[in-house]
Amino acid sequence: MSAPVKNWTKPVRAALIAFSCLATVGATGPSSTSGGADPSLRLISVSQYRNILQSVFGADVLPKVRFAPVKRTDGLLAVGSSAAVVTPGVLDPLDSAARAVAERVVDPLHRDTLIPCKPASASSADEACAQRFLSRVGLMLYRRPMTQQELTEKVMLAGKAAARSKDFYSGLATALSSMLVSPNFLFIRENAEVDPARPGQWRLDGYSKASRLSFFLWDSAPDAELLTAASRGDLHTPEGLKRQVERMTASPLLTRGARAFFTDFLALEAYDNVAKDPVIYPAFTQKVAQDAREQILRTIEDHLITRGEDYRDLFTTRRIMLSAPLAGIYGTPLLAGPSEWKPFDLPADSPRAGLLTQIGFLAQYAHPGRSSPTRRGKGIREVLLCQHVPDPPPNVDFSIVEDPNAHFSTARQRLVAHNTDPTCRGCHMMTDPIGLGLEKFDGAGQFRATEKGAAIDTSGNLDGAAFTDAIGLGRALRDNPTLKSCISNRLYAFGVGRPLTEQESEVVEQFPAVLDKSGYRFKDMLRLVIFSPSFFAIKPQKGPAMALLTEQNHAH
Amino acid sequence: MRSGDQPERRISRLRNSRLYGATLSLLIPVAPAFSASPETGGTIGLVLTSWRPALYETPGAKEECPSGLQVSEDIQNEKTPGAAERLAKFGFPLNRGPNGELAAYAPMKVEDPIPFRELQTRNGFGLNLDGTSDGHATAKSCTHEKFRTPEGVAADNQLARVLGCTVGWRASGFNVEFAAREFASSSVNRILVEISGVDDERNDPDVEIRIYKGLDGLVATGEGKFLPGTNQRIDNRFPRYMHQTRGKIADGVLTSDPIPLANLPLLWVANPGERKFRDLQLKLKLTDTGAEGIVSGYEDLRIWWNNYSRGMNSHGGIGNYSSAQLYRAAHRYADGYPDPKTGQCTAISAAYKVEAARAMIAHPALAQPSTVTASNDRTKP
Repeated sequence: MSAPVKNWTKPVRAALIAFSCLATVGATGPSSTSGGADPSLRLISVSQYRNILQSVFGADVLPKVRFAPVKRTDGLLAVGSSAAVVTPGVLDPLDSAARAVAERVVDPLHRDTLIPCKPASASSADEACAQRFLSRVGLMLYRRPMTQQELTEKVMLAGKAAARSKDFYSGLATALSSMLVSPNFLFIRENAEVDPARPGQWRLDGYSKASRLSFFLWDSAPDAELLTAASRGDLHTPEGLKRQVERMTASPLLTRGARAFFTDFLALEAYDNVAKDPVIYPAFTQKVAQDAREQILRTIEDHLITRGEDYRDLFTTRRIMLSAPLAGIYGTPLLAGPSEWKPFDLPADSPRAGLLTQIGFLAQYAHPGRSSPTRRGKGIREVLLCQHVPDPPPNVDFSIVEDPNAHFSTARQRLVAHNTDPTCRGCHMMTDPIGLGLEKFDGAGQFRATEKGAAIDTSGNLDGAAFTDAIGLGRALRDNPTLKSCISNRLYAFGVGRPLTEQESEVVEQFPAVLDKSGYRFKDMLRLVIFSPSFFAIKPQKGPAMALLTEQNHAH
Repeated sequence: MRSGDQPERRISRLRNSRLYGATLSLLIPVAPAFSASPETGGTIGLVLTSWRPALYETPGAKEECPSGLQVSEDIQNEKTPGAAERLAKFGFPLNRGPNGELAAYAPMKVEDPIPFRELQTRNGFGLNLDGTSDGHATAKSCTHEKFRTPEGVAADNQLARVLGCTVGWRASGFNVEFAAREFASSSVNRILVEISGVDDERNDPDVEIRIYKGLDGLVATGEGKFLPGTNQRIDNRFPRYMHQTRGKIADGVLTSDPIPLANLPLLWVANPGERKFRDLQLKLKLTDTGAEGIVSGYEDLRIWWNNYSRGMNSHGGIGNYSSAQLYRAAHRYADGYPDPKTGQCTAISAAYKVEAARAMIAHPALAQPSTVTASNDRTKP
């Protein structure tokens, strides 16, 4: 039975059918799967760690935990996580967190709910009960059934610890905590297997496909239904895969996945460190800073998930999500309590429209005490257009702009003076004509009509598209072809958790041809990524199919 | 320009809110008339951040209190014969009445040996509530002395004569600082002022002024000030705290017409209270970030005392005042609304120095989503 596809847009449906056919028959050419990547191994993120524990044990067992910073690679932390390691300095707090979780799971408050059996005696080991519990949580934590050897080891560990402490639950906690620091939990390890349908070809095994899907769409481990689908081999069939993707993209958990992607794509973790001079910007309180970051995610959530709008229109939309602390800066009353969020339509004569004019973006790409057209332009180029702007050289000469007798009123005047230096001009030409379009918003994202009494000229151009103000800049960005290829590339890389291969890049280059017709709707973009012929493709592996052997040993 | 919502809807809303408020407040009198729609034109929203008795103070109080400051009730008690016996008998030093009555609750049962220190200056702050220049008795006032403000205007503020020589109510005193902190921290005290129909913030001969109780907190800055531009919702449960009058702005100073009767919510030492003013008037100097000035009216004496004594019934030692003297002084200086039978004035002219921060006032039934325009988007960094 084929999956329901009636709510997919026509171009996407056509493209997906074509992609599915290519993937199934192993076609050659630009979309060939023969050049697939190796299975990946990557560290889970803090949010994934928390989401998994919450789904397995509930929110009240969540520990406070921090991971070591991951190096942003190719614009994404998700890609950097494929090169991340767990150092002893990181393992210690993870171990403490694991123990804390395990103790809470087995404590009298939770054990009757979370442990599916009672031991024959609470003061001694109970192999059967331990095995039942550990195999169940092992499936969820490792995202695959534990091998017989793994399960035997954990049951023995629980038994020994119970005998030593004369406490069954203490023994169970010891085994559980060891699983929570296991690489099988902390790393998303993909396994390859030979593809029985295509001699000589390899594929990701079902559980690896399930993990790739769930971490991509839900920012968490697969749920029971997805694991069951994986165990049945459903994810190797177009119909089975479509059925699961349809279910997952219809789930409220998709919001969590979207937030994870855009947090990573827009580098929102850096927004946590935005600080403004309280003398210059007293309104930019800590709460405003927090809400400014959250506003971006909530607006995206509302725009892409709730209302299914086009990604490109995020840069022109007048509909935003607003909280009471932000309302003051937007200059409007809002009938909302201090922690409430409300949708809000900016009127036609508002100087704001689109993501670029939200306080979070404007404040992040600015100095603590003033705006920065250069930083804003660089942010647009690097984050939203996936372009690289070189860092400034170490010996920049600021003497012209720092001359106290210069009397520059506006940033444009300062930058024009600064850019008389030819070594500076090259890079500034990439950033400033864009960033100057946002100059009617100060370093805290507040609107201003003038700067030091002088009129502000917000005209500029983005790759040849001229504009006169921030709203025009948003329109120019919306229509910039690179915006589309950038989100396509980042979304794909986020899904696979590594840089794209050459073949994958060729596949992704085809996305705009489809999405230009259908619109850049988030779910359609996700489907294009997932159903592309390369998304699950694995290149032939050397040696025996160890993964397959391992799977055969899964404990049931 | 403010975009008001539909008058019909507003009327319906106010009717509903009155019913709700009346249900909540049971036998409390209904709110005064409140018109249906705010005016068009610019709007200035304010939230009061500070509320202190308007006292004239000189260094060492030499000018206004030449005979010194009030002594505390503890000292009054010690100087009253039989202090030790009363303490042994009633167990608390302020149970000073012949039958152990607490002075705050039965002030007329207590006599103080050390006389009340009278405020003696003619300088003061306030507004001219009775319209006279010499304080002669009128239909709504008893004979009293007027103060002269720094602007040279005659003003009524008899409450200053009651509190002016009490160290706790003078600058940095315990009472005034405690009250100021409480005023800012509790949303019970959240008083919003909305000035609408403003064509020119410096000079406008006719504006509408509305007062509401707010719901939300203030946001303090690191300098002990309060952030302007915060979102403040009207507490729609209390239409009795909604008042309306007209006024004018001249050289950036807002002067209101009197509000005949105004109840205002004021917490005092953790006791939610409601103060009742007649002829309440505002005189506020408007700034880009807020306002400062005077709120003044005839304060109902009985309610004032109930509120005051409940909050400070055992704090006479801290506040350096005597309840017995305070009560007597308040009645002695009362100058408003004489009882038709006894001639005793039932209210006292009271002036409060207030500060306010500009605020975005959110109306409960305002249709959402609302609008923001370029002109009211914050224009100054």
